[in-house]
Amino acid sequence: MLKVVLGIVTSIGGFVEVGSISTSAQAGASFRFRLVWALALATLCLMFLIEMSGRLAAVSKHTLADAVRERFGFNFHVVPLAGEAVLDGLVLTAEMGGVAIALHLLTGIPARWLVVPVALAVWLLLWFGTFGMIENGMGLLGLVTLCFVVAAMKLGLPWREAAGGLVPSVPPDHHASYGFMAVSILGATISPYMLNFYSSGAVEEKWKESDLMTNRITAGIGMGFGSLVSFGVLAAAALTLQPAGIQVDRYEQAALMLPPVFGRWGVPLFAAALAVGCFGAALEIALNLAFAMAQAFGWNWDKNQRPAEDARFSLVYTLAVLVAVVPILAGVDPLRLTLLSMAVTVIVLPIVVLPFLVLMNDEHYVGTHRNGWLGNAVVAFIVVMGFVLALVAVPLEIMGS
Amino acid sequence: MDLVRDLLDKQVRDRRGKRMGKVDGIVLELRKDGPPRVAFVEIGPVTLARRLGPAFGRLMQAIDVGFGVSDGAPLRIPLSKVRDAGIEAAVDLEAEETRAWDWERWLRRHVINRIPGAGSRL
Amino acid sequence: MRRRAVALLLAIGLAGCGRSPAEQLSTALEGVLSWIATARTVADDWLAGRAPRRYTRATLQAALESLEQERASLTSAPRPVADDQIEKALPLIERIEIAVARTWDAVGKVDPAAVREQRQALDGLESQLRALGARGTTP
Repeated sequence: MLKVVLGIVTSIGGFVEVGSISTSAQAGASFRFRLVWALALATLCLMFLIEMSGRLAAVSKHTLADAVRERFGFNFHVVPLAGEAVLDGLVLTAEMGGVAIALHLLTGIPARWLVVPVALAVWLLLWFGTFGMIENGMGLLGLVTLCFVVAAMKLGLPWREAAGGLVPSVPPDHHASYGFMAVSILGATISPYMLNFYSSGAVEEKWKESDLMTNRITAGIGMGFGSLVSFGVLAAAALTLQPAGIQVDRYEQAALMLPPVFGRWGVPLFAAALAVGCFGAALEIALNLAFAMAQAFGWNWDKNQRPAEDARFSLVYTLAVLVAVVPILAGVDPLRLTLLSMAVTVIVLPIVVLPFLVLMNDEHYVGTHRNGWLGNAVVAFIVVMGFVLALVAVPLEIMGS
Repeated sequence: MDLVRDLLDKQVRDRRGKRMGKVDGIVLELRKDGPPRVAFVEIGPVTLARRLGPAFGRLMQAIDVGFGVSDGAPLRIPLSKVRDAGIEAAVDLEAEETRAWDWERWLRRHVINRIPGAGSRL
Repeated sequence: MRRRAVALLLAIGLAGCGRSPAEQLSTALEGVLSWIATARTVADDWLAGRAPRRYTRATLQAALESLEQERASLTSAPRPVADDQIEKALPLIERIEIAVARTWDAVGKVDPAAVREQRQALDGLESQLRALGARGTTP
């Protein structure tokens, strides 16, 4: 029971990070509730995929990367692996940039310098910390992100209008922007790194077939509650920024959504939520990259070992953090970088998800717990949607920016 | 060849249950009487790189030798020493002492241990 | 060879889409209006004690940088048609920048009266901008 609760708590705090906060804020400020359907759709897809990752890990005792290399061979595995590496690198940069920006909002110091102590903090925690410490610590701290849900409630959520947003409705103008925003929300929510990370956690905790129900609950409720926080951001933006005519082109503008509710605690809360969400995500992504490499090449990957005992593993996350600092330090705009990584996610997603179609129906891996028709339909849908969006996203980016 | 498909890319565990590597390559023995059979499994980055293309193999070899990690040759294990352990394979060797962990040892010595705190854990 | 030409044409066509001078003006003015609203809101928040000083100045700084960028993009825009409107908009945006800069300064000196004064100036400038036909985002 405790496991389930902890799993859900971790999911809530871990759900929002730089991508979901920026896309939800922009969506709410520019289009009010008209993009709620994108969030709902993305969450639904994510629930299915996370449950599959967990099921695969529990029954086959393989993580996703393990299983893909073994089942499809290294020559195939190289492709999703490379995609994952590039994507994780991009998103890691964006997340550390997010923490830096949160600190900038509080101190006024330019974000590009703040990213250095942020990176150092991330690395120190990975080097010296344990998996449990990181997961549970960030999970609890992550509850601060519930401030967005509180804000939306206090501002008075217009239920009718919000529910209406569950149906896609293209606005009279700004078509390209609307389309690109929808794609970004999908990319921000369905993060490929979460899939391998979740399966790695499941294998590390030695999940068995008896944990399948726990898995289903964690995936469903955890992701569901988590997405409520994203919805909170969108709603707060819709109810405070949109009426004021403020679009979100910089994070400073997004922070304006909380002072109306929390007074002088508004901006500090926003900064705290952004910092915690991004920091937790940065840890997770750096770890996931190390997991993915270790699992692809067959190295030892127990996070709780000392760095000296897992030299190759430790090197990967160290290099990842080092490289990820560079773009922000060089002055690349973090918000632009975030949006770019969302678009790249959409392109990488189908490649990472495609193996599920085979693995989740292969009794060698999932035994009798094969996918039902619905599960397979969802995966197929995500793959097709990903391909289509990848083709469409590039011109949309040109038109929408 | 079922055995090839089953063995290739499988996770290998050592005597202590540590993850030693994956089966990166297979060495077949051609016989006059009967089909070829698997003689050895190979674990090594050069072997793996070569599967992507001979140029990659040469590149990995150059890196291996250039950094002084090894001579590039993979760890070869006779099939008789490989035990099928369900989803993984087990060998009666000490990973730490084999070529499969050349890079692990090299990195530990030259990089990781140079960073403070490598041997500690909170 | 032919395939490359088609791809290039597509790229130009797509890039050209939605970039007519009138639309460029409209987009830029939208951005300007958004930043005026931002400056106004953060100034109000600061006056009411809802926004910390450093954050307020950081936001006004961001507003200044963004307004500068919008003005630069308009200055460099090709101008066959919307020439007249752009000519009128540019000095307006410049005055808006000055008002925002003065607000930034006043917040630094903790001078609420000066902030209120600049805020009123911003209101006036905004209505002038809207008279040029600028529209904000539609809900």
